[in-house]
Formats: sequence, C-alpha cells, structure tokens
Amino acid sequence: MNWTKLLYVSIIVLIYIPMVFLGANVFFPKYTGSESYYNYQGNDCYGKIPQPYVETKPNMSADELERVYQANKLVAEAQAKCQQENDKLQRDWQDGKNAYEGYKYTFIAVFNLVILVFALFVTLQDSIVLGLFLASIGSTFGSTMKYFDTRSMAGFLILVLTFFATIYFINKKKDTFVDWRSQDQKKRKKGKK
Amino acid sequence: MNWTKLLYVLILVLLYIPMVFLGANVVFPKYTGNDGNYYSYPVAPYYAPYTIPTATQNMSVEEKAKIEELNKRITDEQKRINDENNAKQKAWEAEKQAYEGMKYRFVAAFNLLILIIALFITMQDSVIMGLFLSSVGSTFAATIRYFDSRNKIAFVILVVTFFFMIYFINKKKDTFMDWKTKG
Repeated sequence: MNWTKLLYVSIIVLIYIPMVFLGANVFFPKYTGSESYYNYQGNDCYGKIPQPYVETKPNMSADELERVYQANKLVAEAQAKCQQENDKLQRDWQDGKNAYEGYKYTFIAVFNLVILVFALFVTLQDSIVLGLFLASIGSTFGSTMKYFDTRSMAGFLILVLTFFATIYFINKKKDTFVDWRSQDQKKRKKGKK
Repeated sequence: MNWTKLLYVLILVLLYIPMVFLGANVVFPKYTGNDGNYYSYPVAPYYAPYTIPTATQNMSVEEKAKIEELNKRITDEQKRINDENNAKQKAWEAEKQAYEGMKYRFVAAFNLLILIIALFITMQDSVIMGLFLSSVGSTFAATIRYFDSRNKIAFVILVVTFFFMIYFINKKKDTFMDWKTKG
C-alpha cells in the first residue's frame, strides 16, 4: 500500500471540505452561527400573558365560580392566540432561512461541480486528481445533507449533473487509475516475473 | 482487493440516495421540513387548564345545580374542542399519507428504472454495481420511510423491483465484479 498517496488524498479532502463550507458562509453570511436558530426572546406568551391563579374556595358562589372560569378562559385564549402568532413568525423566519440556504446550496454544488470537471480534464498527479474528486463528492454529499430541507430546484439539477459527471469520471478513469502499491511492492512484483 | 473499485461504488451510492430523496422533495414539496409535523400547525385555542368548580356541603340545591351545570359546560366544551382537534389531525394525517404514497411511488418507479438501466447498459462494472446498490438501497430506505402510506401501486413496483433484483443477481453471476487488483 502506498501510504504517501493515501496521505496526500486525505490532506486534500481534509482541507477542501471545510474550505468550501467556510467560503459559503463568507459569501452567504446570514443564518449562520448564533443566527442559525430562531430567537424566542421577548416572545414568551406565558410570561407576557400570565394565567391568573384564582383559587376556587368552598364559600364561592356559583356566579363567582362562573367569573373565575370566564377569566381563566379569556387568558387561555389570549395565550393560544399569542402562541399562534409566534408560530407564524417562526415559520416565516424558517421559510426565509430555507430560501437563503437554497442559494447557498446551489453555490456549493456549482463550485463542487466545477472542481469535479476540473479534476476530470486536468493532467496532474493521480493522488491530486483523486483527492479533488473525493473532496468534491464529499462536499456535495455533506451540503446535500445539510441543506436537504431547502428543496432547491437549481441545487437538485446541479446534483443530478454532478451524478452524471461522476459516472463519466469513473467510466473514463477506469478501475485502476490510482496505483496504490508502494515502490517495494512494485519491485517485488517485477522480481517475481 | 481493488479499493478504487470499492470507493467508486461507495461514491455512487453516497451521491445517488440523497439525490433521489431531494428530487422527491423538490417534485413533491408538501409535508416536508417544517410542514412534516402536524403539531407545528396552530391548534384550537383551548388547551389551558381550567379551575374546575366544586360544589360543597354548605351550598343550596340551586347553587349546586348551577355548579353542576357549569362543570358540564366546561367538560362539554373541552370535549368538543378535543374532538374537533382529533378529527382535524386525522384528516391531515390521511392527506399526508396519500401524498406520501404518490411520493413513494415516484421514488420506487425511478429506482426500478435505474435498476433496469444498470441491467442492460454496457459500462464499467463498478458503475453498474454502484447503480445497482444505489437503486436497491434507495428503494429500501423509501420503503421504510413511507411504510405507513400503504400504497398499492408502490407495493406492486416494489415486487417488480424484487424480481428484477433477483434477475440481475442471476444474470450477473457471482463474479461479475472482479475485486482483485490488476498487476
């Protein structure tokens, strides 16, 4: 086994994948870090509209009990309305995030496809070509999982193109384009012959 | 062992499965992500606990009757709202299952098509093996994911897929993929 080749491939993959995601965050900085989740601050309905704790006492008349019931009902309805409004705000925020991340996903997928095509046609050392190929595929896979909920049509089309480019790559490069054997193994093989 | 071949097969599987599910979500966007859960929808505003009034021994018969009537009203109203919510949720679930049935059908039919292509196309054996495994893996995942849809057409497609899979294995025999390294 040629461990140096494997090391080179691993190094390229290791640097490339975080680089692409960092680049995406640099160009599309919204909804990242502490802004990646919905902020509930100031939207606590149970804090804004507290339930009046009115105890029913044995000496309360039926009319008083009716008033307690009506008061509690009003508060519960106000809380539920507030909760619904919060739900709507959160859903709108999530929709905005999904649309934005759809662009981000498209950007990453396009970049990876460019690198894949580059690896396909450029003449470089085989470990670099394999490194770029694996890094591009790994990054596309990672971004597809990360931005799965964006349901981006453009991102999906690019993913399909990537898939076909991958098949073309594999078919073109054949099974043994990377020779994993070390120099010693090659010499021994030659010696046997 | 030819690790490059194994790597190619894995790469194809890794790209294909999320691609099919993403495609299904793009073509059938309803009931996915945020909309995949019923409870994310606003519910009827009637779930807060109410103080249930209790009748005591000191009360007159009229008072007790009033309280009983009040209790009955509260219980009835809560029951009505509960029933309404349950009915709404059931209707939503039924609609979701029907929609996901169509989605499952789409995924299964697409995978069957890829399986047939893998069966008859002439390409590198690692590409064919990659397509075969991807198609089978994706069909398996879709079956588990959309198990509750109970879709008849999709089931028929699954059965056809099963027979094609057997035909594929039988046709390609044990050794169509040569895992040994050359040289």
